[in-house]
Amino acid sequence: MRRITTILTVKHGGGSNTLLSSAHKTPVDSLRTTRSICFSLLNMFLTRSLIGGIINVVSNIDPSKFKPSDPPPPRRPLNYGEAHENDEEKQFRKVFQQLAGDDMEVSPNELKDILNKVISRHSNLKTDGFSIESCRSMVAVMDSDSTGKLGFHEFKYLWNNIKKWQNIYLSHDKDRSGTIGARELPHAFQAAGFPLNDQLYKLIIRRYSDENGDMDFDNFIGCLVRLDAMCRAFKTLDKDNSGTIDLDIKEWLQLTMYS
Amino acid sequence: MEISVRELRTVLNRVVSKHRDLQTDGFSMESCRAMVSLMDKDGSARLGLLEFQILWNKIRKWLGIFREFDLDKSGCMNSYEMRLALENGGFKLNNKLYQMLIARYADNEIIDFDNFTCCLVKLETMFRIFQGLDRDGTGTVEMNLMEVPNLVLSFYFTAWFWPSGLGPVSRSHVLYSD
Repeated sequence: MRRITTILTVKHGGGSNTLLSSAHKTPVDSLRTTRSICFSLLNMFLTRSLIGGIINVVSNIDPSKFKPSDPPPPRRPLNYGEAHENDEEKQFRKVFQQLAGDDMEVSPNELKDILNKVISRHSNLKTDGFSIESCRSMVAVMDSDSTGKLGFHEFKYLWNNIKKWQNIYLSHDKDRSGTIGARELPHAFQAAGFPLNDQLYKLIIRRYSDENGDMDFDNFIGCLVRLDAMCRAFKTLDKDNSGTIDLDIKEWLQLTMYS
Repeated sequence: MEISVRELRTVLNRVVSKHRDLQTDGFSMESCRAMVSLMDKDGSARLGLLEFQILWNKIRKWLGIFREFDLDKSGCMNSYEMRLALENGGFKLNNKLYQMLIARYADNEIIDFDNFTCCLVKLETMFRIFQGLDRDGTGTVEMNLMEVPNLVLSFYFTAWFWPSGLGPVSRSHVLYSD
């Protein structure tokens, strides 16, 4: 069993390990002289580091505080659900049926429509709308039977998570900008059950936030949906709850192709 | 001297629009970012000349495969054609994985050219990360819960998390067991 030695050794109790030098050299010697000018320019870029020298990606994350959402309930036959629902659930089921249409499942396009409709009613959530790519990704991570669409329980589960994270978004948007700023993000993620560390927050901000470091609502949700799904998938594979798992290439692909 | 994600997207969309036999709604920023990330060794999120050339050759190869396995010449892939194309692209997977990929990348069960390319880029990235981690060839890698966020970011920041480089580009990525 090969330990990932290059970067990611964790010590409980917050010992830090060194990791990586950000400069990665390309083999210059094998280049033809006609390209040498281009490559000396390229070399200038290679020595520039963006986040600075050594990245300490993993230290000081407290594993006991990592709390993805509970796994979804076991699948039940459709009529079981209907016989045991309360009024609110019945209402939700009606909405689902309208949304899902004839095939009784919510496609990424249908998800996109409903999400964008809902957020258009909330002026305190700044967003440029959910993209189809983002919705495909969200469907993929929830789509346990690989139909490419969400059944009722899958959709309900996603919806409840989105509601929960929406509340966190609103309560952590302290300056009422409609976005989660770089300073607000760590608290918001902690509240959502994902206490990461500075370097990861920096990378998340680079990936999901705008040039001012502000994350809008669709990106916030998109990020959390992925993070949550991957953590849940991990925990399912971690049968002895040790915090580490061994993956063969099949399991690896299944885990990673979600994102 | 370097091409950004946005510039790559412009070039790709321009080129692809000239190939009228290909169905596509254009390359997204996300796919282009994944492409740059796969090739980008210094984490600059830009491609130098050589990196761009390697990527371009890859895309040309994938274009060839797409055309070859678009058996009904519809300009896009259905699930049967997709399986053949993936195998021919060097990815011999299992049923479950094929199904997952098709669910993930298809729109109404068909996969157009930009989604096809995105799928191949991500598959190759993930295979090579795995091989890079499994240097002694045991066939397994160990992963820690704390590393999960890295995976979420992996298509954007491949060079940051795997700076010792990805595994080799092999001719085929085969799952030997099922």
